[in-house]
Amino acid sequence: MMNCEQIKNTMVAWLTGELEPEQAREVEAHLAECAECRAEAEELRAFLPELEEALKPEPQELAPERRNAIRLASKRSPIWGGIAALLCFVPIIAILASMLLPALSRSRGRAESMQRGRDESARMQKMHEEERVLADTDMAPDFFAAAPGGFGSDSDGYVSGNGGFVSNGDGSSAAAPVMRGMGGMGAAPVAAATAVAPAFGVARPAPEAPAAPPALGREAAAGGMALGARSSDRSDKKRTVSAPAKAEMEMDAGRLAGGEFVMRDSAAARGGEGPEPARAKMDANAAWQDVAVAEALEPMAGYATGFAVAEAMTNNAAKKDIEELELAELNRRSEFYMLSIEVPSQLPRMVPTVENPVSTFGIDTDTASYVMNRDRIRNRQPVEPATVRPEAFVNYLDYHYTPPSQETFQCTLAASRHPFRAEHAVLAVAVQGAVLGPDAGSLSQFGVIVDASGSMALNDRWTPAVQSVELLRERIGENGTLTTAYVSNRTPGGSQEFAPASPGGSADWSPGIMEVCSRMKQLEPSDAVNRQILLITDGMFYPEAATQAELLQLAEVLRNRGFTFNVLGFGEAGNNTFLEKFAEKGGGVLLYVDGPEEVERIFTDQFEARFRPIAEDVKIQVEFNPAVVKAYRQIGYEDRMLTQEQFRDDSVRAAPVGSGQAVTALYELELAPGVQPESPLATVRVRYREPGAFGAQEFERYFPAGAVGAEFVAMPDAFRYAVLMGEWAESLRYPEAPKMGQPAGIMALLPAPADWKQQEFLQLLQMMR
Amino acid sequence: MATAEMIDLLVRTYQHELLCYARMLLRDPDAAQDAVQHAFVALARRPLDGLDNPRAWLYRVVRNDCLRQKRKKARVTYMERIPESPEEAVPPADHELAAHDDRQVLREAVDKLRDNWKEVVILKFQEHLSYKEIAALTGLSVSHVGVILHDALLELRRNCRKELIS
Repeated sequence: MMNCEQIKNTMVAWLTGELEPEQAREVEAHLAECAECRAEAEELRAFLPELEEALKPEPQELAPERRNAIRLASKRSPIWGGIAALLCFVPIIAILASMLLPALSRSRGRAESMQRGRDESARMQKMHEEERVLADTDMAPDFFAAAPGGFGSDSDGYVSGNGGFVSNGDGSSAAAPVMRGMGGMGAAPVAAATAVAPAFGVARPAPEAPAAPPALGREAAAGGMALGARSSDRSDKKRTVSAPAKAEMEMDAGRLAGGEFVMRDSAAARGGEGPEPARAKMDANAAWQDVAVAEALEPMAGYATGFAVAEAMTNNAAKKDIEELELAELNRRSEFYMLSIEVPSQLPRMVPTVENPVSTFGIDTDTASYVMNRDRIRNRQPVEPATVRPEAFVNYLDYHYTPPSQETFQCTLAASRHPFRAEHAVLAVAVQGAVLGPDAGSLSQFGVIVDASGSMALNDRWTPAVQSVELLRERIGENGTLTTAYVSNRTPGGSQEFAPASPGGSADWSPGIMEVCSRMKQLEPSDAVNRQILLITDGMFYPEAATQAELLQLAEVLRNRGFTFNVLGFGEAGNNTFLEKFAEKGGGVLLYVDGPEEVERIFTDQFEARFRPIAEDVKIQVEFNPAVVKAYRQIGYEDRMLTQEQFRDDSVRAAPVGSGQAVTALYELELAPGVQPESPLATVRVRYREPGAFGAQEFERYFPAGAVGAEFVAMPDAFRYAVLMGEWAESLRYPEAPKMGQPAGIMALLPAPADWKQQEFLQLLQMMR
Repeated sequence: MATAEMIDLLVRTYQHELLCYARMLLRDPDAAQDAVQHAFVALARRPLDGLDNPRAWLYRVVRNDCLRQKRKKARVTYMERIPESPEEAVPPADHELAAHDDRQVLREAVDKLRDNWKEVVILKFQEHLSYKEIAALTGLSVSHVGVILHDALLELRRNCRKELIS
């Protein structure tokens, strides 16, 4: 029996439920008899919630510069010990220096430009850091980008030879171990790895395909050399200034500027479209979630080798920590952008046309950045500037351009005085793809890889994921085939054809991808032009750099074999940066799903646009007339920029455009004073390849200086929507930039909304105001 | 990269409570940021293998750093005869304004507890650490933690009542 003195040191523990049952019973027995202690306990019981309420902490966060310092320390640490080992490579480095120089100078240049404005002490640390990060990310895909070029050369790049799929797959994975070795070595040995790769390919014939031709090695070598050549192209600042564009104008350019931007009748265009889609939050099934949270961490624990999370899982007290960890992760889904992308603070500079009159870029139809940020704004969460991609914002809206009836594309140009910076003008380049008829083209083949790992059970992701496969099956109907694989390490062999009852374990995508692709290869028709792969995942996937590189390479190799990779990001979509890169390498897009409506839309309204390509490798080049345009700046498309030469280099790939899909690009211009209205302002060239065709084709349009509208508000509605959406996205991306349009100002200039997307844009502005 | 992402996840998960804790110990937001930053940098520089409970480890490092900072400041204060450290310079106006707010009264009462009592109360009721964790962190025995909590709560309650009545 406890006495009053002993009760003292357990009473609070008893009140907070921390005592073992046995001790608790003793306390209760004492309280039943001792009125004094009982009164004290009652008093404290009433007091505890009050105290906790009073002590509820205000949210506090580390200052951003402190977060950066931690990030630097954490990225640097794993290789610090390897520095000594690095010294052994010095002779090799010396030999290879000539090969590597262009690449290194590029990375240093970028490292320096990123550091501007940082304090001096952080600078030196960061120097080392940037080099390493670039070695891990940028350089690696570059290396691989070169390799498949080699594979492609024996089969004209796009169409696979007999059995080519298997041997090439193996050949590419032969290079992967080199990547793994590289991860630990830091920046300099990249050259070594590049040089070793071909040798590796020859020395180690792939076990699954003993007949792999030795030529593979040579081709890879050629690929490796191509890297050097391409890098030097990039650092070469020489620009060819082409002759001023023809004085002869296409008469309809001016007409297009005025006429084509007219909105189609809204009712006709968007007929039965429902009201603004409420953001249907996927309801969390509480009981389910408990299990799911524990399982969700399995893959993470696997990747953080040796980290104690796995051990802690067995420890009940630590389990709470893990749940917190997981929840915090879910709340900050978009922060993964922060790891790899510097937060810009200033608008990109205006490029003087005397320096370079030509702007070239690959199109981008990815709208994930908009969908994700729409979600954040609706939840009153702050927008992370680094996650805002202006091109995704602009391309999310429908502009209802008239589709071409004969040609593949209709290109429309319009320009006016800038609505917020009156000294500038703004040019819109709109490319509208043709709409395919219902029976056009041959049968399509679809392959779906569903991530069936534990985290997919979170927040009820599983049901919509499985449903979306069924929606797709329904949609394809008679017009194609569907091959499925659900991947999880719980399934023998790593994947299975039918959906498991519930997800669990961790998922390795590559065997599933290989499985689906090889099954699709055996299907009829064997020459299907449209082969779409859809990877359904929540992106709770944090692979090592080497695994990432392997996956990216796989996507790229398969793309060259005619498969297009798309990613359907579910739920909180963890590692967006990687998913986006994966889809880009695979020639598709990352579709971010923020609710059942978005799934529905993807497989109904957007289906044709997303999964029936009318053109591949779509690139746009805008050549400004230096006599009219003094300087220009493209809005968005930062990571899709190409060099002038890459426009006609068909080995440089770009994204496809789907049936009926439109792409809009914007430029801010500084015009020269006193220009002849009939002199050309810009020539726009569009280059693309029809699916399944060998050669690329090209067409161009001119825009006369006289067609620049003086009044922004007098411009067609579609033009105004595009420009204002671009302005808003940039004001989110560069919050510090001066003279940017603010939500209230943007709202004042918007025409009345003609469809639900425009309506939604208006509502978001309203919320931001 | 996995290590960096793991560290980043830990930062996002624990920065909030560690900052609260450091701020309570140091009463200086900037110094608290310093302490928490140092702890995470130290975490990043050590191997994560064999670290069973990163949260407890972080608390320990933050606490040591705070106590070191405090000792250093005490020395400086003595040598330079700085009349008031920031915590004593809380403007009385605030005090008067908030006097009607029960929660404010309670917060101030906690603030006036002797240092090791205050730390234990905060660790228990703000950071929600267990008796065992508090004992491991502060070096007190588990039963001593219990006694402190008991006595501290009763004292808080008495002080608050007095304050509210007056």
